[in-house]
Amino acid sequence: MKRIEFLEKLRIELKNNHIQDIEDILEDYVEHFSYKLEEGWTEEEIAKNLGEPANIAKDYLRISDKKSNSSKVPAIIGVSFTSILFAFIYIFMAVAIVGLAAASIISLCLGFCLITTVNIAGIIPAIPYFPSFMLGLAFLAFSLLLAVGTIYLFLYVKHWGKLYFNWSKCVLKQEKFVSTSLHPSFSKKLSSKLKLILIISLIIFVATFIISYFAMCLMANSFEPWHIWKWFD
Amino acid sequence: MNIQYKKGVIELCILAILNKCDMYGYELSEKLSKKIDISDGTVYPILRKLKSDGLVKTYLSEESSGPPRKYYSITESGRAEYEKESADWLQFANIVNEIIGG
Repeated sequence: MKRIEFLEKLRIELKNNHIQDIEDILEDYVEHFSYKLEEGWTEEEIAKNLGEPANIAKDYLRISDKKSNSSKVPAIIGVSFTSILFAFIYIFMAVAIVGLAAASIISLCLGFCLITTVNIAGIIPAIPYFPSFMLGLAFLAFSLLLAVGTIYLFLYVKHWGKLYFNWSKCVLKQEKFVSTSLHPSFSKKLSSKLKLILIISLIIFVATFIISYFAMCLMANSFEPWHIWKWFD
Repeated sequence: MNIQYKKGVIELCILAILNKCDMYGYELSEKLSKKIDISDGTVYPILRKLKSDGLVKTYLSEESSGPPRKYYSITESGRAEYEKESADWLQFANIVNEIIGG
């Protein structure tokens, strides 16, 4: 079969099978013929090696079946609904992140107040210095814990946002969505650093908190030092 | 080798090649048909399917001689799919080797 004959036959077979973008498909074969001719093959050999146009058209039929006939409207409606839902969840998560960050800052300030005995707005009750110092350290450690928590939450929420965006893009384009992990990808250095900070601040927090409490108990001679020192009266 | 079996694996091979570098259609077709016993035209419909699934994309590149060429490159989801499929394939091949060998 000569080149022109092959391409015409292929065009007809593609048309009969209602395949889209016929010109685009034929371009591939035109290109194939010209490269092969350059290499010294004859038109008949090239056509023979490509196979029968009818069979080639069947190969293209298998792909286009999955897409061309389905309407996009259900996809658009579906994605709109899920997007509204996701927006609510996202806003809630954003507020949570801001809240966590704020709590971390407040804890930091309290920690400093307790250590330096600067009594901002008079919210700090009377505590002897040693337990106050320990409690201050506890709050500093807690602040660090909350900060790391904020960072993790932020990274996860950002990653889920990206996943959702990619998913909805694929649904609208009727493409295959390949789900990557639900966990954001951490660089090994960052991940191990964060874990280290998390563990150290947790240990410091628990230790200093306990020491502070027992110190207060010893000094107040009671297991409810806040009662003895009239914190909440 | 069975033709249907080959076709499934060719998708994986195409993704593997594009994962390393971009190529134009004919280059990809020649590379594969030299190594695997498939007919010349096998690669083109498969490339089209991969593009339609969003696993690869095309762009035109200006060539010094002649018209611009259509290059294929792998997408993010193509990369993810490749990671998944190649792991599956290796696992599958190991199992089959075990069954045949044992």
